[in-house]
Amino acid sequence: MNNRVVLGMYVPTNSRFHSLDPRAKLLVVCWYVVLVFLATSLVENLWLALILGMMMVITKVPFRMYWHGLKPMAWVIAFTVVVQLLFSSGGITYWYWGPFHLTSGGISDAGLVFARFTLVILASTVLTVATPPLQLADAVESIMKPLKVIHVPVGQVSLMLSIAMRFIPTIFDEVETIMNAQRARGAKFDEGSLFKRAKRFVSVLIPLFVTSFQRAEELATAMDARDYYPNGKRTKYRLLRWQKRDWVAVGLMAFVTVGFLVCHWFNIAII
Amino acid sequence: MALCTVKLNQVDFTYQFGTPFAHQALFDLSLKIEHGSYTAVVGPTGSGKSTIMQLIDGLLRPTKGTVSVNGVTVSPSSSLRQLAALRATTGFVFQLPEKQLFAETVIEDVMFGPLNNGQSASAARENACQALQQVGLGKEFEQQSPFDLSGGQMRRVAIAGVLAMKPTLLILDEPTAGLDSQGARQILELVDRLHQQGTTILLVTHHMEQVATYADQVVVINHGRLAFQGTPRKLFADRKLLAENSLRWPAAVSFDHALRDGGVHLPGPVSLSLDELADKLATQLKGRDQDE
Repeated sequence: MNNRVVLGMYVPTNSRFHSLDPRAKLLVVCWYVVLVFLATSLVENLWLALILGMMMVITKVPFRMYWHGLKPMAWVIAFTVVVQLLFSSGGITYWYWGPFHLTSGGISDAGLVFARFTLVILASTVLTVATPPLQLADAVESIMKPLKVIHVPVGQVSLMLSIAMRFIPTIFDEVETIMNAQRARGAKFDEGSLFKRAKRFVSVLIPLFVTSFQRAEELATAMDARDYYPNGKRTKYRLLRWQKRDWVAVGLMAFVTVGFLVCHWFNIAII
Repeated sequence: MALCTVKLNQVDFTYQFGTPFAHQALFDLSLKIEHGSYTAVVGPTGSGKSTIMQLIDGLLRPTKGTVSVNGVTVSPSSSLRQLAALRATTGFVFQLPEKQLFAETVIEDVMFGPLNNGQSASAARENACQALQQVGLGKEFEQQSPFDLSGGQMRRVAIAGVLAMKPTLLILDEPTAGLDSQGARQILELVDRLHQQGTTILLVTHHMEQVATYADQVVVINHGRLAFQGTPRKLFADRKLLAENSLRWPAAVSFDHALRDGGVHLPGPVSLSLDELADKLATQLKGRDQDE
């Protein structure tokens, strides 16, 4: 049994957001991410942050879980923000030392980068905590269906996606077990220099690769034994049904976009 | 009073504590394992046996209560380093231990543990050779790749990797799973030999025959609680306890019970092995011959 919380892991609750069609959730979150990239001003970003906060509340998932999703990325965000702060130019220069400049343009760039990173990561976490991975794969397949016309093997791509998603928790468990087995043999994964740690990790990676390949082979054999035919027509066990509430969700996104445009005009007006 | 190697004091353990996935695996569990004993740990799948073993090896931190092994005690507030100290004198053979093999040659893999414990390369090599001999793998295996060996041989290499660290307490989690009967017997005989040389043994198993033949103590775990601790003879004499914990009887025990139910008078407590039962029956029959 695994004893760690995996980034963006599905958290079942009885929220309205959870009960949406996975395609609706995917659409809503993708739409939101597009808006995040279009936002350039403080007002727009505040509006989007407000919407995200509301989405997070609606999912009924404890905020701590979102924090778990954000934490692994904290260093990347901090690094990018600092680079933006010190190396961007434009606007008024407040302070400089050698190649480092602290400018008003840099500060607003850094703020923008920070907002984009946080909002996009949290939005995708909203999607993954509220949607079981296999449903997400189904949604991607359903949305990609039109591509069949241009001979994209949609069924096979989505099968690969489903298999990949299905085995993420299995592989996490496996990593934990192998790490424990090596810890029991005295391996200390959290001590020593970076180089030493990387070298010690070989004792986890090799067994992990070996078992993953074995598993892949077994899975392929099992699929063959059940007469799997890549281009065969197959029906679904879990059917996706687009309901009224899914239209409501998409409609609310349209409202969010209107609000976004209002913020945009407001921003131009005060400048 | 014999020395206690392992002491669990009112231990609770919850997986993913403080998250929506929290799942309590152990409830107020107290347990003592005496130094030099051979203890079998039995119970249904998912009853918490493996969790207990991982607590004893310092791979998990108790949520409540304390765990002591060979004089080192950890509590919920202990650091990772303190947990690691539990491992110093403990060897843990995991389920399907051949999954942990990684090195290019057998000898390098077995040396991994001793080297991690800070031994010099020559001392580690010496211990590794010795451990390989103990598991019955000769010099010719040392330079082979562990991935070229058969399943049973891989398992023995993995066990050698633990023995090379010279543990005084050896935990084995179903070491015979998936082996043929000969491979299983070799491993059990090896464990028995280690026990006779003074190693304390903790064996997690589903085979009641192994419990009856080798163990001198049994611990029964059910739903994360201690259901029984005592000698195998006491456990197998208690039919209600066996049924409650869905434990199977060894062949000798069911014969013994069936004979007694059928009105055959057998002397003494329940027999643990077929030989013992046969001896009892033989004296019984002889006695009757003399009476007639």
